[in-house]
Amino acid sequence: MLLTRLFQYLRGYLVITVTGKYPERFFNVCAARHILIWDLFSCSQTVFKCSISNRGFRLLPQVVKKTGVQVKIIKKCGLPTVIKRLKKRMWFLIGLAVFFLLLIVMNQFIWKIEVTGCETVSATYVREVLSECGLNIGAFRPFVDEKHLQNQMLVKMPELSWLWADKRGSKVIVQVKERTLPPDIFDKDAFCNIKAAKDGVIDSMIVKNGTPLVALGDTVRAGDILVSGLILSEKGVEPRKVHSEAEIYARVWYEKTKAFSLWSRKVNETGKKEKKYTLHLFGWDVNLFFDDKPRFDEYTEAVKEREVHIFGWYLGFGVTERVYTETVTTYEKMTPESMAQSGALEIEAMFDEEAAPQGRKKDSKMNFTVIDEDTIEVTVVAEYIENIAEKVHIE
Amino acid sequence: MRKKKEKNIAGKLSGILDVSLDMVADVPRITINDNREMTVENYKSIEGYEPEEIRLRSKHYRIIISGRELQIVAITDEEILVRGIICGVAFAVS
Repeated sequence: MLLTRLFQYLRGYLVITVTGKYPERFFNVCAARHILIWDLFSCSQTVFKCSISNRGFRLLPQVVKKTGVQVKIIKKCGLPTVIKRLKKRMWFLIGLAVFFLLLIVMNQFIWKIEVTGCETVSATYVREVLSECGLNIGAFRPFVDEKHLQNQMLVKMPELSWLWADKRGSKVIVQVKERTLPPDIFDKDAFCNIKAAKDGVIDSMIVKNGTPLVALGDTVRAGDILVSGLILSEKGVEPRKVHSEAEIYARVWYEKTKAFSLWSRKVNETGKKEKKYTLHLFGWDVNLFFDDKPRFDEYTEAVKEREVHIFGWYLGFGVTERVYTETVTTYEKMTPESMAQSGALEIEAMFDEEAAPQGRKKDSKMNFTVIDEDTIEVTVVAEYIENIAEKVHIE
Repeated sequence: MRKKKEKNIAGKLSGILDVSLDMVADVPRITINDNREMTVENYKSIEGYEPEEIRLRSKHYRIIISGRELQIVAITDEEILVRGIICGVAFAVS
């Protein structure tokens, strides 16, 4: 049915009304003469509305004469009618053709480069190297070879382990994966001692190779030798140098004092918003505003980028919408206790970063002193159990 | 009488050959999909059309389609497609 409708649309059809005493007779004659009629509605007993093909309508005069009905065209539909209408608007058609031509030509260039996956390497640096390799704004799209670009980039940037450029119309999405550098591997045959990386009290020890110089419960300072790589023999044999291996877990204390203001800052939105639009047109940015800054003194900014795509194919233009929301900052005085709690959490988070990765927190104590009516000083002492063993070469 | 005889012969023939009656005789073939759509093949002419009733003429009898909002979607010389809410189909001898 859909195909029939499409065919009828392409051939062109008319919507007509048939008025007469016996309109049924008209339809019977039409059917007998192979004049296709469809979508027949009965408006009243004597008036019928139906659709008829352009070709069929040309055969109607004889039928009308024979059946004595009146036929009136209500609407002309279909592609031939549209073309006929457009022929009258020649300049509109030319404009449309020029627009599409321009769109096709401009889509042969790269107008946007998106770099994703950067962690330590800056996206700007990746863009610079991409530009050296021939991928820059305005580059001719068919000349951008993804495979070649990938090879060149990986040679020029050893920080990257993988890169792929995906062309999507006038946009290139460059995905990068940074190389994870291998850790410095200590030579297994080199002689070494194990020293304490931090101050602490020895909690447990697993010595796999070497001579332990400390015992459980000993207090050690950072730099103290914990396990010696020199094995002495009681039987007069020459001392043997080995590669020490050990896991020394110690109780390590961290202490920090920090001053906090009792006034906590709160930012509230007033609900007033201002939008500014920037039009991106084939590499050019056109600001649709005069003043860069919004009329608010305090505000938050949200940026939304809208690109024009057809089936994922970037057409080279889009709009950036900046929404500025007015905010009001208020200060609220907190109680010393609640501020101390949140301050302690902040300090503990610093300790977690400072402690060894496998270290676990055993205990934490917090106390605070009120310095003046607006400030308190929070002191946190936390105890961690962590491996403090660190290998050092024997000189 | 002659028409009736022809029909009886065609009926017997379709029974013997085990084929559909419309293949051996000039009879209308009516297909109804749910109570919404109806196709009548091998009809002769439209006798009357109202949104509540469509009367078709076939070789041997009249076909009366009754219902609501009945619409003739397509007409050709051999086939007619009716859509709407079909309440009943009756056959009346011409």
